[in-house]
Amino acid sequence: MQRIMLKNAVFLKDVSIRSKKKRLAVSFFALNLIASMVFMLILMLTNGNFANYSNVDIQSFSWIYDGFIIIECAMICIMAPMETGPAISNERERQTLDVLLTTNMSHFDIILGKYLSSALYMLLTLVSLLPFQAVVLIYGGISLGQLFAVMLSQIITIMYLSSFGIYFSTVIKKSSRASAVNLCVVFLIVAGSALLCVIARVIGELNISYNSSVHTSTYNIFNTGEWSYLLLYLNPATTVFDVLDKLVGFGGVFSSNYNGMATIIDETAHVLDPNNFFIKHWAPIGFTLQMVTACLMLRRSASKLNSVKRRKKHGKDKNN
Amino acid sequence: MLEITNLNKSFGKFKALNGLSLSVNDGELFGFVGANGAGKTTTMKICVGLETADNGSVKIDGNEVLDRKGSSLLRGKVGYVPDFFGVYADLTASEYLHFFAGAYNIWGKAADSLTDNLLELVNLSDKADTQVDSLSRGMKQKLCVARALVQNPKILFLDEPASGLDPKARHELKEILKNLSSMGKTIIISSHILPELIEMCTSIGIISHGEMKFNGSIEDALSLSSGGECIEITFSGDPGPALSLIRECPFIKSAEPISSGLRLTASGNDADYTALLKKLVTNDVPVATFSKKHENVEDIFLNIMEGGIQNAADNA
Ligand SMILES: Nc1ncnc2c1ncn2[C@@H]1O[C@H](COP(=O)(O)OP(=O)(O)O)[C@@H](O)[C@H]1O
Ligand SMILES: [Mg+2]
Repeated sequence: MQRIMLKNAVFLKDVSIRSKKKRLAVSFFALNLIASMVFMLILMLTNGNFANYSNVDIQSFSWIYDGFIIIECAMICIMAPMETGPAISNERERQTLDVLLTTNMSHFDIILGKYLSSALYMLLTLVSLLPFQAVVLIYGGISLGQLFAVMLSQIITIMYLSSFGIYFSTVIKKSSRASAVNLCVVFLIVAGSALLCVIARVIGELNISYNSSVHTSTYNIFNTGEWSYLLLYLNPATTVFDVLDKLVGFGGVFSSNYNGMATIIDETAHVLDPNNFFIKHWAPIGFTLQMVTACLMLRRSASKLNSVKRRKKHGKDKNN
Repeated sequence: MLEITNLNKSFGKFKALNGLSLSVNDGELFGFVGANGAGKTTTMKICVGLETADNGSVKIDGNEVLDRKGSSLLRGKVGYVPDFFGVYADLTASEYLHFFAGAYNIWGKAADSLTDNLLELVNLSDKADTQVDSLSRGMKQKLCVARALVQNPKILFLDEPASGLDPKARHELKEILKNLSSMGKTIIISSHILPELIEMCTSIGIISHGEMKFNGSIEDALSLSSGGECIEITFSGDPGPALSLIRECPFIKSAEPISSGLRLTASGNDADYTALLKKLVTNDVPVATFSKKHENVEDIFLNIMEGGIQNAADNA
């Protein structure tokens, strides 16, 4: 039986423990202090005198916004593994997990409670930084709807990366090790998949230019290495970029048609068609795949929570 | 009624439980005794669903609890106090119990009154708002007992609850457990120290190397001791003819000197002992104390564990 958040004892306990800690207030304060100082600095550097409204450069605001979102996403990539690393392993270390496992809560309830409480904490961090994003609203260029769409993409990123964090926190006994492994996993997901893509494409390019049996007409996603692009659906950097580029524009870094991943694929691929439905709707498809992966990771964690596998009623099999 | 039959559990090649069987009647305070590593914790973990058995069965009131169906039945019926505290340092005692009430889906006013009642039951009402990590060991242990009672279980498993507690805390814990027992709960306490259990338990089981060596009442366990009872006599002066008088009695098997007195191994009844005492006193032996003692319980325990009276146990 799955419980809604407000009837999940683990969720409520973790939220209450977290909110009691001074760390929460201190970290929010420090974060906002740094953010506001960085923001002031950027404003001063880009506009000289930002008190003079007529001087404000709209383009530079979308740059600041993009930069800010990137910094927030980098923060998520560090926070998600660090926050979820101790989630289950800490209960194991303190030996409270055994006691929890004897209660009425199902394994999935326990995992869900841990997952949601970690995610909520990160979400609050994002919300606390929302005023800085909102500065761009004052000067125009971005609507409130766009702002929330970008925020949603960040929330999905949190949910996605945290699900891996919870999994490794379940299978690794020591919380410090779990956090370290989590950081590596996030690095692999974000940077590793991008690197893999680059390598696959380089090999693909070498293949099509030196392999005499491959002609333009026989190009496919395998001999060009373009299959590797499909892995990028599971890289949250690409989905957030897709949203950001389409909604806000990435300052024409890749081209001026602001089509997100379709632009990149258009400019780097032979076979994949940027007008293909799956490429055009990169972000929604990517988010769906990421959320499905997150659910699978949580299910997997629930089954690993206790090594106990119950015997079937009449099973004679020994499980050692 | 808890019935464990032919439980086997191996960790790799090591057989931790070797065909263990035992039964505990309702309302009993059962002492589960065995040396370190005998398999007490493993047995308890299997009974509360934290460990699987390779084979064998555990029945509560005739219902098998080791299969998939039984596991949900199990959750409401057993409470478990592990051999470590398992408390959250950042919660108060009351929050700690509220959390577990929630874990059993008890919320709101019901959880408030349950928490109050449980804290009162274990004499911790005045510590309700104290952080758990500032409680003493004894208090933490009592809190854990309260926690295990949240779902009002029928059977309570306590794994070495008294270890590391000072005598006062130990005594208090004993009183709480006796009280719970009088409320009709079946309580199973493990320990590696027999005397600790003997004064409060109604029956005991002795486990050694994953096998039950004995399962029955305390009286039965004591009567298994080879030499029956012993009598200790101390004298306030020169014992004079005491030894020869004692030797005349046919129910005295042996006598050995102890400080200012004698210890006699005997197999008589109470009337015999009265007669002996009378004889000593009428012959002007300065008897200071005269007492009947069971054989040292620790010796009995060791005997049973080493299989010394295995056959006797089988006959019983
Ligand atoms: N998870 C495990 N892996 C390997 N061996 C174990 C495990 N748990 C217990 N054992 C072994 O099983 C034996 C019984 O342990 P235990 O039930 O804890 O004994 P007790 O509680 O009576 O001291 C011990 O020798 C212990 O080393
Ligand atoms: Mg033990």
